[in-house]
Formats: sequence, C-alpha cells, structure tokens
Amino acid sequence: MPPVRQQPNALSGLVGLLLSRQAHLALGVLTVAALVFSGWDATRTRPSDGTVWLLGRPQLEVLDVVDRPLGPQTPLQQGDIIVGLGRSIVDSPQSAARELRRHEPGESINYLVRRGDEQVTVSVPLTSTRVDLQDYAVNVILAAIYLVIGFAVYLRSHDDRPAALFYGLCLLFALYFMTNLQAASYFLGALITQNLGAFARFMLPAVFLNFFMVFPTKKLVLTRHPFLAPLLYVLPWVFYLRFSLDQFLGSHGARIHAGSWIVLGMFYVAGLAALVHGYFSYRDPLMRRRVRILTVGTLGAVIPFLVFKIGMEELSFRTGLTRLGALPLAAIPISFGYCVARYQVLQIDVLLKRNLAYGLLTALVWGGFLGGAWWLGGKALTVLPGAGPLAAAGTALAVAAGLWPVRRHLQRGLDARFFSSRDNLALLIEEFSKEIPRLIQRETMLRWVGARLQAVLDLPSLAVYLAPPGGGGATYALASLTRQRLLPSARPDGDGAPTPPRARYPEKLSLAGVAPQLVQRGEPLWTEAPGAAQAIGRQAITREQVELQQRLLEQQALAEAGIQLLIPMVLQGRLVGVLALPSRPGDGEYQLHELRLLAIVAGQAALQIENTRLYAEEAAKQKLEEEMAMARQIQSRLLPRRLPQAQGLEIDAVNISSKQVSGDYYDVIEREDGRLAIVIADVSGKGVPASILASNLQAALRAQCDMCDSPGLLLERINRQIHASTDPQHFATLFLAMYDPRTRQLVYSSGGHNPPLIMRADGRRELLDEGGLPLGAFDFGTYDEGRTTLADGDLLFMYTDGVTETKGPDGDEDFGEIRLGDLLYSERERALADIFATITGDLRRFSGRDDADDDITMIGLKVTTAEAMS
Amino acid sequence: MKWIIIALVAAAALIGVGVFVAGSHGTDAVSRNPEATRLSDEGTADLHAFRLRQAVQKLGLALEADPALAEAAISRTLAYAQLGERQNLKRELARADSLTAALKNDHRRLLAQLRLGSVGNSRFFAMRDSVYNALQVTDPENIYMLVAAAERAEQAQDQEQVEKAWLRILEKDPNYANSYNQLGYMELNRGNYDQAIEYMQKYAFLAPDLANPHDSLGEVYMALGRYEEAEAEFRASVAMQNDFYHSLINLGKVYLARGELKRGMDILEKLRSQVAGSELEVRVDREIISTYLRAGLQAELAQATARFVDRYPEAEATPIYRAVRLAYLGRIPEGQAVIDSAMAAMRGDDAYARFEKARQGVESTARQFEGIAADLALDHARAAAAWGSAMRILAPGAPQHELFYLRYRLAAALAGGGRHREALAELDTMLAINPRQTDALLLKARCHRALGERDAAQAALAALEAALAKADPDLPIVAQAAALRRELGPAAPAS
Repeated sequence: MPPVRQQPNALSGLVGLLLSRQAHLALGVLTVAALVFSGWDATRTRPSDGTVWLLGRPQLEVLDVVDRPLGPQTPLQQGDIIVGLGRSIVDSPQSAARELRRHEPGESINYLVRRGDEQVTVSVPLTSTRVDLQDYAVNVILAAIYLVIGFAVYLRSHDDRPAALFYGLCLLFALYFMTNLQAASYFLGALITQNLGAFARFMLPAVFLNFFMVFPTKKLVLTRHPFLAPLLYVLPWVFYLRFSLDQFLGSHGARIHAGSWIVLGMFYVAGLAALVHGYFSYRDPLMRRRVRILTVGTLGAVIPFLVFKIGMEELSFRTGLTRLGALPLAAIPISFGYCVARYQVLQIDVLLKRNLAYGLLTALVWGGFLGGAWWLGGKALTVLPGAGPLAAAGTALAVAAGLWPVRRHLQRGLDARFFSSRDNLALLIEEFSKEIPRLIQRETMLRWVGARLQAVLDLPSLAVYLAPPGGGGATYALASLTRQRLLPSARPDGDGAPTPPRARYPEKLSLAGVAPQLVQRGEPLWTEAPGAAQAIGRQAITREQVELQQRLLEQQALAEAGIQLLIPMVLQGRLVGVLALPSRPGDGEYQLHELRLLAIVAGQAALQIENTRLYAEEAAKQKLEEEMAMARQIQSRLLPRRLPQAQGLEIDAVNISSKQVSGDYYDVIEREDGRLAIVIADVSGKGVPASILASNLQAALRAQCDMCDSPGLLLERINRQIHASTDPQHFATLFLAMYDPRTRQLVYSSGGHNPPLIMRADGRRELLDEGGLPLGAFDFGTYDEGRTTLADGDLLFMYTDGVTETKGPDGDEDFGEIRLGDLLYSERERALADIFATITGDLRRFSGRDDADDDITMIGLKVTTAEAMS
Repeated sequence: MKWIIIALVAAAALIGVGVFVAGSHGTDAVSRNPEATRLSDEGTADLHAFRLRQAVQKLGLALEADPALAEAAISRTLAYAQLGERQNLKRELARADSLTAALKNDHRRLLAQLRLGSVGNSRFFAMRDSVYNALQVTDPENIYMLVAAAERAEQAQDQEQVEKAWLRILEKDPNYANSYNQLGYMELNRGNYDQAIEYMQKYAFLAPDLANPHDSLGEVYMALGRYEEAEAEFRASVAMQNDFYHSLINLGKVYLARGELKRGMDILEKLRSQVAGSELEVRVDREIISTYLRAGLQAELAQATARFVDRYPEAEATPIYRAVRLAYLGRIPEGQAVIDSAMAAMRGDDAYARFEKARQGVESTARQFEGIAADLALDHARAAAAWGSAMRILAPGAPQHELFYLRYRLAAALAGGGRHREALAELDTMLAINPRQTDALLLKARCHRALGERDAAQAALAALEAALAKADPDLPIVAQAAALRRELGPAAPAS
C-alpha cells in the first residue's frame, strides 16, 4: 500500500513559503533595501531641532532632547509642547516635518512652545539630522562585513539550518549598525529607521541564542523539544510590539527599558553558554580546533558588547563607551569568515579560491546591476509625475526584479570562469557516477574507485573494508587496498611538513562500536586520539558509557593503525562497508568538498556492491532456471513418447513435473522374448544431475534389458555401474518388473523403491516389496525377485514417492499408502486414465494446491481380457 | 518567475502608495501646470497666515506659470487688499474678476465669486448673498464659506456662531491666522486672558511680520499689567508698520500706565499732530482726555476737554466732555443739563433701539456723570451707587479690564464714605487681573491704613512703589505715595 500523502494545508504552505530559500533571499533583499534607506536617511542633510517627540499624542510633546554633535544644543526642553515652528502652527509630526523642510540647517527659527502654563517663543538653531560621518563610517564598515559574510554563507550553503540562522544573524547585526546612530527627528524616514533599529536590537539576541543552539552541534534539548526554538522568539516579539505601540501610541514615548535589556542580555549569555558547551562537547580534536576560533571570536565580541553597551550604557547610562562595545562585534563575522574559508564550516566550501579578479568582476556585475536598476527605475518614474521617493524605490525594485535573470546569467558565467572548484567537484561526481555502475565486478569496481580517489585526492593510500557476506557480524574484511606510494610531500627531504606514519591496514576491522554511529549519522568519522577511551573506561558504568568506551577503543585502534578517517558506505540502513583513509602529510586536513566527494563515492560504491550482489544472485537464478529447463528437456526425452500396447492389457502412465525438476523416470520396454519390462525410478536430487542419472539408468536398462532375464540380476549389475559412475550421494530407487502377457506372470525386483501395489479384481491388495537397496548408493547388494500372476481385472499400480508423500495443507500429514490403496480399491474397475485423474485430483484437494513439491509419476498395468496371448 | 511576479506586484503597490501619498495633499487650485498649482496653494496658505508679501510673490509666480489661474489671481487680490495697496488691488481685481467670470466649473466659480464678494470694488460684491446661499447648499464646510459665515455672524452679533465658525476654520487650516486674531479678541472680551494670549501668540507667530498680531498681543499684556511685554509687542508692531497708529496709541498708554506721563503724552501729542485732520485725531484726543482724567491732572484735563469741544463740536463724545468739564468747573447743574440733553438724543438714535451694547453705553455714561457729580459734591454714598450702577450696566458684555476705571471710581466712593472693606473688595478684583494699577494700589494702601492694617498697607504701598518705578517724579501719585510712605514708615526689609 503506498504511503498516504498528507495534503498540505494553507498554514503549512505558508510556513513552507516563509522557510523557503526564496523567502530568505527576499528577506535579505528587503534588509539590504532597509540598510540602503537607513544609510541614505542618516546621511541626508535635513534640519533638526534636536528633539525626540511623542507620536500618537494630540500635541507635539518633546520627549527628550538629544546630543547634537554637529551644532549647538537646542533650547527646547523636555516637556515642551511645540505649538508652532517656523511660520506655521503645527499639530502633527508631518506638519512639523513639512515646515522644517522649508528651512536649512544652520538657520535659527522661532518655535512657539507651551512650557508649563505659558506659551513662549524661542529661537531654535537648526542642525542637520545627518549623523557624524566618521562614527557612521565605522558602523557602515561593520554592517558591510556582516552583510558580506552573511550573504556569502547563505548563498553557498545548501539549505543548512545553521547557515540560514547565521545569515539572519548577520542581517540583524547589519541592521543594528546601520540604524544605531540615527538621530531623532520628525521625519518619517527617521521614524522607520528607529523602528528598524529597535527590531534588530530585540531580535538579535533570540537569533544569536537559536544559532548557537544548533551550531556547531544541535543541542539535545532542542532535538527533544523542537517547540523551544520558536519559543525563543516570543519575548523579543512582545518587546518589539510593545516598543512599536509605545512609539506610535504611547504616552511616554518608546524606549528599550532596562528590564528588556536585562532579558535580552540573558539571551546573549545563554547563547555564549551554548557555544562554549558545544566547544567542550567535541571530542574530535580537529573539530574542536575549528570551533575554538569561533568560540574565541564570539566571546571576544559579545562580552565587550554586554559590558560596555548593555551594562554600562543602557543600564548605567554611562555614554561614550558605545564604540568599545560595538567595534569588537566585528570579530564574529571575521572569525566565522576565517573558519568558513579555512575549514569550510557551515557547509561552505572554497571561498579562498575566489581571487581578486573574480571579486572585482563580481562587484562590477553587481554595481552595474544595481545602477542599471536604479537608472531604469528613475526613467520609469518620468511617466509618473508627482510620484514620491517611495514610488522611486518601488520602481527601482521592480526593475531590479526584471533584471535579476540577467545578473544571474552573468554571475553564473563568472562562477564558471573563476570559481571552478565546485565545477571540478561536479565533474568528478559525474565521472564516478558514470564509471561505477559500469564496473559489475565488485573487486574491479573497488580497485578502480580506490585508484581514482587516491589520484584525485592525492592520498597516500586507501582501503575498502566490506561487511561479511549475509551482513551478519561487525567484523569488516579488507576488500581492496590501493597500494601506498611515496608522495612528494611525504618524502623525508620534503618541505619540512610533518610526515604521518604509514597506515597499516589490518585484514579485519572490528566496527561493532562505531557501526551504529556511522549508520545513524552517515557522516565521516574521525578516529580518536589515544587515551580518550581509557579516560572514560575507568568510570564506565552505564550502558551508554560502555558503548562509548567501545567506540572510542575502536577509533583509537584505527588511529593507531594510521587510519584517520572512515567514510561509511551505508545502504538501506546497513553499513555495507567503509572507506578507510590515512592521515595526510602536511596539515593534511580533509576539505569539505573532499569529504562530500568521498561521501558521494562511498554511497555509490555501496549501491554498486549491492548491485553486484544482486547481479550474482540473478545470474545464479538464471543458471538454475537454465538447468531446470535442461533437466526438463532431458527428463522429457527419457520418458517414452508412446507406451507399447498388448491385447488384453491396458498400460498407461503419467508424469507431473514439479517446479524443481526431480529425477522421476519410467519406461516400458518390449523385450525380444515378448515380455514387457516395466520400470519406474526416482533419482535423488533435483535438476540436471538427477536427470543425468536418470538418463544413465535408462541407458543401462535399455542396453541390458534383453541380455538378462532376471530383474534382480539386472538391478545388481546396474547398481554397480551407477555406483561407479556417480557420487555416493547420488542414487536412485527403481522398480523393475517383467511381465509376460502370454502367461500373465510378473517377475519383479525393487531397488529401494516404493512397493507397487496389485489391486486384485476382487479387491484384495498385494504389495510387491521384494528387492534390495537403492541403486548407486553402495557397490554391493543383491536384489531379490518376486513373482506373481495377474488375473482378469487385476491392476498393477507403480508410483513414485511424490504420490504418497504429498503433504496436507498444514504440512504435517502425508497422503500415504492407505489413502492410495483405498482410492485404487474404489476405482479399480475404471480405466487407467480415469484412475490417474482421480488420484491427481485427490492429491490436489489433499494438498490444497495446484502445484506439487515433487514430481509425481504413476504407471499402471491392467489385465482386461480372459484369454492369454498366444 | 513566481518571485519576479511578486516583486513586480509589490513594486506596483509601492508606486500606488507613493502616488497616493504624493497626491493626497489637498489642492484648491486647478491648473494643468502642477508648478502653478503648487505656487498658488502655497501663496494662498501664506495669505491665510498673513504672510502677505510672500503671498503676493508666490501668487505672482503662479500667475506667470498659468495666467488663467483664477484662484491665484483672487488670492493675490485679497493680499493686496490686506496690504492696502490700492493700485495693485485695482489691477489685480480686474484680472480676478475676469478670470472668475470665465470659469466653467460652477463650483469653482461660486467659490471664486464668494471670495471676491468680500472686496467692495468687485463686480461680484453685490452677488455675495446669493453666492453664499448657493454654496450653503453645496459646500457649507468650505473654508471660505466658514469665513463668510463668521463675518455674517459677527454682523448679527451672534458671538456663539462667530466662535463656532472660526474654530471650524482652524480645524480645516491651523494656519488661518485671522482665526487666532478673532478668537483671541473673543477670549479677551470674555476676560479669558490666558486663552486670549495663546491665540494672540499663535497669531503673532504665524504673522510675525504683520503689525496687527503684535498690537493685539500687546493689548492683552497691557490689560494684565505686563507692560514691558506689551511695550515690546507695540514697538514690534510699529517697527513693522510705522503708520500703524493704533499701536502708537497703545504704546503711549503703556507709558502712561507706568506713570511715565511725559513720555506717553509726548507720543500721543506727536501722533495727534501726525494724524491731524483724520478720524484718528479724535481718538487720540479722547485717549489724552482719558489719561488726564485717570491721572487726576485737573488743569490738564480741563484744557484738553476744552480743546476737544472746540475742535470736534459735532463729535458724539463732545456733549459728554462738555458736561464733565462744566461739572469740574463747579457748574454741575449745567453739566447735568448738557448730559441729559445728550442722553436724550442718544436714546432717540436707531442704534440705541437695535443694539444692547449701544443702550448699555448710553445708560452707563449717564450714571458715570452722576457719579462724577456726586463725587464733586462729596456725596460718597450717591457716588458709590452711581458708579456701581454704571459698572453693572456695562458688566454683562465687557471684560474686566474695561471696567477698571468704573470699579476704581466705585472703590474710591466707597472709601470716601468709610466703607473701606467694600472698597478693598472692589480693588482686589481689579488688582487680581492687573496688579500694577497705581491708583488702585494707592487707594488700597489708604484703605488698609484707615482700617489699621499696617502690614497690608505697607504691602500695597510697596507694590505701588514698584509700579511707579519708572514714573515721572512730578506725577501727583508719586508724591501721594511718598507722603503715604512717610506716614507708614519705611518698608520692612525683605525676608
């Protein structure tokens, strides 16, 4: 039954859309637009009276006055209600902004303000809302660093959740820096900028904590309680909504209160704790080294921020320390950028290979793209006279969206030209994907894979270990070893780089401890430094500790053998094998794209190993089927096409072959003396060997039948012949009777065959059980003969064990001789064909099946007239 | 592709919002030239804010951009009317009339006719009632309709409707300067001085280059005894418009109120010589008489009234001054006869029958003469009754500061009759509004002295001395204050 596919509902569709890569990129574009807007707004020269005002009040009340680095302080006071400014009575921020636009920074204009109980006119020197460009330049640089690293990480990541969170973190940091110094004013742009800044301040701690809950490793608590991640954002959203409500409707203005800062600071602290925990939870020294840089960078960035920005400026109101808190924040993107380039963390590869030309051309493409979009947007606006800056921005965005495919095309060309490592990787993957399936011999395939990987990755050696046949056990056998060769960098007279010891690949690898981890994670496993297992071993009490100890011991053993890395070959939840890689010379660390290649090749090799196994099985099956067909053919040739007929005698036979052709055989030979030699045999085994033995039997019988009148003697000779020409385990049961139609005398001898039955016309039963051992089993033995005379209506019935050993439906009861005798008794007067039909029908009913497990052969001889042959 | 479409839709929405925002600013003028429309709107806004020069300039530019823009021509006409530039007004009015007549849109034409209907020489002046009635149906909330409604209510002396109209105008345009002027005066007349100041300040703020707002604000300050602020405003008014004689009169009154008699009289006398022969001369002479009367300068008063009677024998106030002059000359029965005759004539006047305010003025004047006569006869009881009656007649429609003189005379009569407590009550009412009224302060000190309240007398005297800090030394009240000081002893040192 196919799995029931869950119908997506609207909510899940929306969530999917919001979490999609396109939505993330759209968010990034919006953030960049917001940053550009903030920068443009902050650097505009607009008149400012240096007040912070309350929106949403019926009057323009001065909430606060701000320090103005670019001019004299405002004479306006906190609590003043601005009634008029310039030459207008104002009743809203919009009308105030409209009037202010008529003036220039540097002018002094009159303000009519209600101060206490009276209305006074004061002359207010206007300065500019433009921020101090020196201070702002620092912030812009910091924002640019975050933005570049964030976009680079996300665009090069592969739907990696930590990368997406890091991207969000970078966007928010960039937003924070670009909005940090925005002065207060009446202008809507400044209001939007302040709101964006508040958004960044509230959301940053939550994303920061969330990021370090999933990076470098996902914390267990988040795995067990996935709802915790969304919960992290509840408080920041509440704070932000409260801020926005205060900003627009509040009576005391919008500020980030001390309590909010404390809570947000705790988020940062928790994020740092998660990062440090992640660092110490790594046992792999390489990974720990990678994370160490990030840990130091992040701690060095966030702790000053907590101390100087939140602790001293926001909570203790000691200003002037902002730069001390902000500047170190650059360490976060820089340390991440370094680790991305150096260690390919966050699933990002080969950034270092971007050279200057690529960077410049990329900047040129982007500059041309954005400039073109802006220019074309401006042109489009000429058809919309009177449209404001909002429309200009909207048009530019629309044009940018239209030009996006062009930019993407150009960028792709640049990537292909300068950024070829990814293409190289793609080519290699393509090569392996094409070649591996062609190599149907497992050993050939493994040899080729080993040699090619060694060449591509410049490895000293490489071994492939495979699971034991049948998949049982945890000891993996060396299946292929690419011989070690001396690499230039590993030579003793090399450039001085440390030379790792040559790997010693054991014939067998015990992976009982690490196999579950390899299967579960499907990731490369670095071998463990010596000593770790012993450290745990002293305290191993619980099952988990014992398992961990075993795992570490195995990894330690691998490391001691010079194996640094195991790449799992997993197929359908089974560890088919591993690629064992040695330590590399020099710093010798495996790069991310190499690991990706190895993982892909390992997966393909595992699949191909399974394919070769299936191929072998298929070939064997095909061979068997061919044998069966041949056996059937031989058997069909053994059986007489036509039985001899004699007056007063009815002879008939039937052979029903099973799926697995067995060695049933019957024959009726007309001797020269007029007697009929009647044979029925059952050869042991199945298929062609049984058929060949039956064929030998037939040949022997036919050859000697006329030369020997005694069935017993004849069987004795044949026994010796068969025994001499076949394996001892191959034998046959055989019943041979010679019937003289004239005298109606029957002489017989049985070689271990089921005793035939004579059903007399009056219903008496007589078993023909004289004889000896089966033929071919032993080289000795004599065969007694029995004699009897048949009368009118007597029936001689011979059969193979396929008749009496037919199993009932539950498999524990045979059809048996009694049922057969009873059936013959009741059917004795009928024609042989009818009797056979009745018997096969009853057998079918008895077994409940249409087919039979064994061949069924029956031969009957019935005396039909009173006169004997003359 | 999906994202490109989404981005395009978002951009279209943004453009729509931008266009909406850009186009959401209301515009009155309709021109195919957006620049002309913008200039016309800004010029009209300047006109509303009494920034008349800027209005003329911007409206001129608007008309250059679109010579057929009737609204710009009308606003420019009204600006010239406010500025009193008759030649320009005549020329601009001719253009405005023509453009208005050519307007095809009925509503625009009616509004234009309504605005021009306030200009006496416009061809639409005679149509103003019918235009008003037509727009009353179609667009009663238009700002020009509200202005017209306020003016009509003013003519009908329906103060409630007047106030309602001006407030509504402010809701529609907070920069309509004249609203603040009108509302400020309404509050001043109600005795709501703080509100009046707020309105006047806004008026002055909106039209800082116009003399009138400063003069209005100065008047309020003067009523409250804030003479220095009043002086600054009047000076500002005169500086902006040196022929704004009303402010010069007020400036003189400020000096007189502070006891700077010579300085004040000097301004008034000079002004009188400047405006000789005009209607303003009468007003200046009346102010001079009023000043001498309040200052108790009998000789100067007699001289001034004689001159007034000689110069303006037909003036409305002439018989009153003649009667007063006779009374002060001791010829009270003759004076009474004159005043009776004058009152009879006034009572027969049409205005007396139509307007309450006119009746109040006539009847109060009659009581005031009775009070003067009783005072001269030293009949303090009758004088108190007369002055009290004169004040009560005027009180319903007059602000407190306009009753200061009557209340002072009432208090003086009460004090003369030994009713010092009642006199002090009246004086405190006055001083609560203007604590620097010198005659009231002197009388208060005397009352307290008479009542044996030495400290209160000292306090009142100290306040008087402070109020007379800039007074001429030969002013009688200065000598009286000094005499009182000698009597009460030196002021207690400030604690």
